[in-house]
Amino acid sequence: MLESTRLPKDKILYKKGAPPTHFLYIVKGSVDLMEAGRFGDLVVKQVKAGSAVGVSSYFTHEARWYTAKCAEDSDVISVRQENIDRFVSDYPLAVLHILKSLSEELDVEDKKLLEMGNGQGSRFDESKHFTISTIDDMAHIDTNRAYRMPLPQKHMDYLFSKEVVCPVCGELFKASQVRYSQLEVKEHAEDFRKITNHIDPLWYDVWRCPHCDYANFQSEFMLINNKLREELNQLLPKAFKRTDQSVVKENISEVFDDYFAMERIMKKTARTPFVKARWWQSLAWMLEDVGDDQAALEARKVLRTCYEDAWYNGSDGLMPDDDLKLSIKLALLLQGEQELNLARSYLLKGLQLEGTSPVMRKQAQDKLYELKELYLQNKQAE
Amino acid sequence: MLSDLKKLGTVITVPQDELFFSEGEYGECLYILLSGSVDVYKSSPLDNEKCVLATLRPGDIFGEMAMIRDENRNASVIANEDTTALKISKDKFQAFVSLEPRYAIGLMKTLSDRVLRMKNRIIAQEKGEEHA
Repeated sequence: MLESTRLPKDKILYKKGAPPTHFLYIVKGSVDLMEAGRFGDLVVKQVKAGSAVGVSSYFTHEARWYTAKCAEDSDVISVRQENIDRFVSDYPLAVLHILKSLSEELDVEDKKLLEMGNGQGSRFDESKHFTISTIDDMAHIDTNRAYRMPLPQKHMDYLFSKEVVCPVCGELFKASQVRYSQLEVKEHAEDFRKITNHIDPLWYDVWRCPHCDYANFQSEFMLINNKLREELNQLLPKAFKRTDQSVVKENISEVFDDYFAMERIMKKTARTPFVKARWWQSLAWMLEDVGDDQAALEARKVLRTCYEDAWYNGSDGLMPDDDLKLSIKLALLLQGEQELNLARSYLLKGLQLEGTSPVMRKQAQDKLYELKELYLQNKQAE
Repeated sequence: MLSDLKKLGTVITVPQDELFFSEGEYGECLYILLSGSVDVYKSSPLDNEKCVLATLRPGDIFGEMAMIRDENRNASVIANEDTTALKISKDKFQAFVSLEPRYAIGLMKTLSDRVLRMKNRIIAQEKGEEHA
C-alpha cells in the first residue's frame, strides 16, 4: 500500500505555471487551489479528503492552472509516473472518485461553452415552472428553472478569501468576500440598486456552509443562537456534504443555488422583515439580470408585502432617511402595479418624517411629481 | 490476466444489429470488447436519424461513464457483427481497476485531455469576445 506524507498547513504543493510532474491524492485534510488576484492570492476552490488535485495537468502535461496549498495539516499521496500503477491498484475507490470528478468538470466546461455560444438569448428554460406560493404566512418559491449566465473572469480581482467557522455545524470553510473598497459604481438605479463594474456584490452576499448547507446573508450568518442552532441541525439535510467547494463562482446558477438554499430555511433564520425584504429584492434584481421578467414581477409582489410588513411593524429602529427610502421603494413597487394613489400616500407619509436629508427628500418629491404626471396622463387617456 | 478479468464479469455475445444498451437506460455496468465491433451512436430526437460517434474494436471499453457517474446512458451501442464482450458490474469495478490499472489510467488521461480541450476552447472564445 502506498504511504501518505503528512504536510503542514500552508505548505505549497505546487505553484501555478509549474511543470506537472505528479498529482496529489488527499487522504486526510484539505487543499486550497489558488489564483493570484490584484491583492494577493484568492482561493478558487477547496478540495477535501478523498479527492485529488493536479490530475488534469498531470495527464495533459500542461503547466499548473492554480497554486495548491494545504488548507490544514493534510496527509497526501504524491502520484508519479513510477507509482501510478500501484496507486490505481491500491486505491481503486479513489480512482473512481477522480474519474467522476473529471467527468463532472467536463460537464461544467461543456455547459460553459454552450452558454457562451448561446449568448444573451437563453439564460433559462421558460418551459420549466416558477411559482410562488404562501405556506405558513410566508412566501415560498417552487421552481425547477435553472438560470445560466457565465460570470466575467475579471470579477475575481474584487474578492478575497475568508475562513469561516459555521455557527451551525462548527466546521471550517472558505468563503469569498467582496472588496467593497475596490468597487467601481457605474450608476445608482432609481430603486437604489448600485450598479457596479465587473462584479455584482449580490453574487457573494449569501454564504453557504459546504458541510451542513446552512445558508444566510454574510451579515446575518453568525447571528445564530443556541435554540436556532438546534432547530437548524434538525432541519438541514443530514447527508449533505460537498467534497469539493468552488469558492469563486463561475456562473449565475451557483448564485441562485445559494439564494435558494437560504430561502429553504429563511422562515427560521430571518430575524426581521428587512432580511426577507432584502432577499426578495436581491432575487428580483437577479431575475431581471437573467431576463426572467415574469418571475421578477412575482418576486417584486412578495417584496412589496415584505416592505409593507416592515413599514407597519418593523421600522422603529430605522434612521429617518431609511424610513423615507422605504417609502420611495414602496412607491416604486406600487407604481409598477399601477396603484398610483397608494404609492402617492406612502411618499406623502415619508415626506412628513422629520430629520430626513435634502437629497432623499428631493428624490421622494421628484417621484411624487412623476406619479402626479402619470395620474394625469391616465386620466386623460380614460 | 484476461482469465482473471473474466472471473470478475460475465462474457456475453450480442448478435449483429442488436443493442448492448440504449440511450436513456440506467448504466449499471461497463463492457470490455473481446471480439467483433460496435458503433456508439445517438439518435436525433427530431427524426430518429442515427449519428455514429465512434466505432470500437477489441480491447476498447464502453459504458463506463454512465456507470461511474451513476447516470443513464447518454448514447446507444449496437453490434456491427456478432460481438463478444466482458460485462463488469459496478460492484466489481474496484476489483477491475486493481487488476487492470492501465484502463483506469487511460480513462483519466482521456478525460483530462477533453477537459483541457474544452478549457482552451473557452479561453479562445473569451479572447475572441474581448477583441470583438
